[in-house]
Amino acid sequence: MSPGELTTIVLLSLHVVAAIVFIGPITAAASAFPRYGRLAVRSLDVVGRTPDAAPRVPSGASALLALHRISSGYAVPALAVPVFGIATALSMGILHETWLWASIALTVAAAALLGTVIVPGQRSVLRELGVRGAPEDPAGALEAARGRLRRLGMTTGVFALIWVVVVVLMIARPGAMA
Amino acid sequence: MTGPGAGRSFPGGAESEDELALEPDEHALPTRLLRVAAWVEVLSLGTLLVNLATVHHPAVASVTGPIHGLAYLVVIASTWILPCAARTRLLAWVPAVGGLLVVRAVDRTSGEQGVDGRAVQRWRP
Repeated sequence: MSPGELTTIVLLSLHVVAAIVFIGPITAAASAFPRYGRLAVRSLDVVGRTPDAAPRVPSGASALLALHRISSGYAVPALAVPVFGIATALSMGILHETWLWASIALTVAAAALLGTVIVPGQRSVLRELGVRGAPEDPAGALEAARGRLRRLGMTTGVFALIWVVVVVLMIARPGAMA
Repeated sequence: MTGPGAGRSFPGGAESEDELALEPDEHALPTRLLRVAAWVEVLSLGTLLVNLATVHHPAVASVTGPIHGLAYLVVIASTWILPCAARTRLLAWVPAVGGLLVVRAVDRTSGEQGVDGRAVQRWRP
């Protein structure tokens, strides 16, 4: 085994392990957030009708916070995936391949979706449910959270789908030379 | 059933879910990452330079290079997430020692802003 091959093996292993360990949990946590969010909304809705029970925090609030922390916090170590991915491509001499740039573009799109739609959306839901911060419009907060959770469900579906397409591109390598 | 909220139970025997939900460990993960990445940034560069000066093995350079680049990016990203002064955010961009400079700056101002996980614990009543 040549030193070049060994380098490729090490870099590719780091790339795949980082994808499994960091992007996997982000995708799972972001997908689970709307489901737990709906449960939290329901708990406020039911208990809120009895006058003496004044719930300030919905049930499952800590689960929601944990899912939010995984969705946002794992994004920083997930930088390892593109870094080692590009290093692997350089080491294999395939950085010019079209399928590779297609997956890089999809990865950028997924990162933008996470940073500009999913994580801010989760923050808004946490505010609207009073888990962290207070809602700006307390009267319509639950209704707003319901609509937001529905949209978050769709967005996280697209987010997961992007990773499926990227993995298929990585395996199939359409249009690759050898 | 006496008083508001009676009859609701919380996991771990907590009195209210506030105790569980409102822990100020929001910045624990980025802080830990920052500390690790700051040292990786310096040590990986040291490895690269020692390799360059001695055996000059290409495999060492191609693996350690990306690790150093990753540590540099993680330092910048985690400093960006944490509530830091603008000057500290700029420090993160300094090559090689930026991470350690940020950690030092954060440790100095800790307790006021609660950036550092350890400082928050000391600071909490």
